[in-house]
Amino acid sequence: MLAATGLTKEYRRGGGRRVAFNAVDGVDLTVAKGEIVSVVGRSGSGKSTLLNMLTGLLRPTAGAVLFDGQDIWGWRDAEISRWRNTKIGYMPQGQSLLANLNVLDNVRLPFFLARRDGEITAKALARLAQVGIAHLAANFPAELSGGEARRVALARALINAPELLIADEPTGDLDLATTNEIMKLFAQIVGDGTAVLLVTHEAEAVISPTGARIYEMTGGKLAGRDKKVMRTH
Amino acid sequence: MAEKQLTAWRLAGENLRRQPLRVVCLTAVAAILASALFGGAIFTTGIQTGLDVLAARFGADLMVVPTGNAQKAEAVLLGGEPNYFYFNGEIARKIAPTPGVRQVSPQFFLTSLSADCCDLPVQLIAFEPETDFVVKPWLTALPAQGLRDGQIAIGCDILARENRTVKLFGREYPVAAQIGKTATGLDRSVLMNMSTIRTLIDHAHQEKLHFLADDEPAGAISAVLVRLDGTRPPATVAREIRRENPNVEVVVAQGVVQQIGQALRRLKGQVFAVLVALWVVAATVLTAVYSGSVNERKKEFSVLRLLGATRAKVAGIVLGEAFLTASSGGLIGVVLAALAVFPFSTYIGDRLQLPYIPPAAAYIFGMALFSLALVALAGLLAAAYAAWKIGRAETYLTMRAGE
Ligand SMILES: Nc1ncnc2c1ncn2[C@@H]1O[C@H](COP(=O)(O)OP(=O)(O)OP(=O)(O)O)[C@@H](O)[C@H]1O
Ligand SMILES: [Mg+2]
Repeated sequence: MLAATGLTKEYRRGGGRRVAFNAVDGVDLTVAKGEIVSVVGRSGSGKSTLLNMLTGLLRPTAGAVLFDGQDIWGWRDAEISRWRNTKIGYMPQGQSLLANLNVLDNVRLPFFLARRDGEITAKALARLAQVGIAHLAANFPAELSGGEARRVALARALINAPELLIADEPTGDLDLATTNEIMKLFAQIVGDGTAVLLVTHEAEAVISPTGARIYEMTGGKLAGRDKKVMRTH
Repeated sequence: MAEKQLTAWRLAGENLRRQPLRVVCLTAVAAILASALFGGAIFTTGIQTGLDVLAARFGADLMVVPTGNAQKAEAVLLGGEPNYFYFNGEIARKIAPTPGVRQVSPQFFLTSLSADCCDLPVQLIAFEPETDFVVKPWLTALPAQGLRDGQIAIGCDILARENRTVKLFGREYPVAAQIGKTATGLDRSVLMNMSTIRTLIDHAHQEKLHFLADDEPAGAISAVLVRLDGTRPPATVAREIRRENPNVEVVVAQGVVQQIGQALRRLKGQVFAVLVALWVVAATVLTAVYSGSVNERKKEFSVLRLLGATRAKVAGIVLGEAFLTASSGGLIGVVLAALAVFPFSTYIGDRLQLPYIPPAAAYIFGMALFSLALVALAGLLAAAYAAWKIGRAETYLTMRAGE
């Protein structure tokens, strides 16, 4: 479904002399339908940069991203936005809820970002129930705990029933018990037929959902890791 | 039940609702812009109209008055204090043959504090029907013979009683006509012919009222209004009249209108300068605020992009917020300016010694719409730079930990 080849992003840093370096360096990666893929890497290894290129937000210096065989970087902004809105569910790194909207509106938001017909409120409430926070629908993001906010972001990513869910360190700053619960939700989502691309720290990786295919990222380079996750939930 | 849609408008509105301080500031800037524009335009247009009416209505080229009374005479014309002053009626006959003079007509002034029609003193002006060329054009509503003996015509600020009379020095006089607004002294004047004012003075004497004019020899007048034939410049004729008649002063009407015209131009220049300064400052402030808020809200906009909003949609939210604040601020500004200009403009005009006539309703309405549109446009333009920055999305879309 999703295939990246030779994906590279070059950045320049360091005041006057501007040294060029590759934050992402010749990455090949595939995600098949209904599969769960996990990318593990230390902070600064280029994980978020990779995800931004995979989702058409950040233009690669080199390489291609294909979705169902089509080069997404050949599309216009309207097409790429529409694709991101319908086929991809994205859980960004960190706190990403819109502070000015309540939980229900945050979840409904992606539905309204493209032209659509139909009712959404009932679906949004069902998604909130699925992630276990139906009672918080009327709250504002500032009133939520970190774990609750992640659940809202997850419900929001799922609202348009995407084919691929992408999560950038979805449990980055959560305690172990909460991390466990969220990972269970991912396992359940994969069970429903949605592919999941999960980006995690080393620490989180230990508790990646069962059956995940794992890549390891170091200094912008991606390598497959043969050992499957041992632990089950 | 219909769902409340999360349109770009609603998102913009929701953002504004949760940022009251920013909204108050942006709205206030827009309100100041709109009120200055609208108020300034209405006020200067009102004075322009007043000046036009004055120039058109004041049919005399020169006004000859006793020495030392030129300013008082101008006050009578422009709506300052009512006044009276007298000289010998013979003057009119002496002026008539001066080269360049086509017609002369004497007038007689009196003031009345006792008229029950009004709070302010009233200027009584008597004219000579046989020679008059100044008053008649104002009384177009009257039959050809003009005001008959005993009748009066009143300025627009004077209130007639219910039986269409005005009581002066204890007697009622029938009102034959009321003159439209001129924004000059005429608005607070009562007009009548010479024989009516003699009757009025006689009646007043019976009521034991006395006037300064009582000491004057019979046939005294206050002013001689002069129409020129255009063969010689007004200033030249005025100089000659002054030379031939040592005890007179001459007010040149053109000069008065010109003076007001100059004052108006100065006022317009000041209003314009204030407007330009305000707009430059406001444009800078608005642009800075909007583009600053884009930096501040990078995260919010990148989240919208992540969820599948097009660049156009995100820009639309920013522009929507700008439009909402600018147009609501503009509306507030127009209303505030209207509240300031309409009740007080006549008073301000008086203080500036400038005639003010409120512009027509259609003009006011059009100007209100224009001010609103311009302020809304300014808001949009100021936000356009911010929206453009969002268009170059790549520069900030990488979301990193800690941001
Ligand atoms: N816009 C940019 N300009 C220059 N360098 C950048 C830019 N964005 C990211 N980088 C650098 O690229 C590298 C990879 O960043 P990235 O955010 O992808 O790391 P990450 O693996 O997601 O880290 P974390 O786990 O902390 O989120 C880092 O060294 C970062 O400093
Ligand atoms: Mg990251």
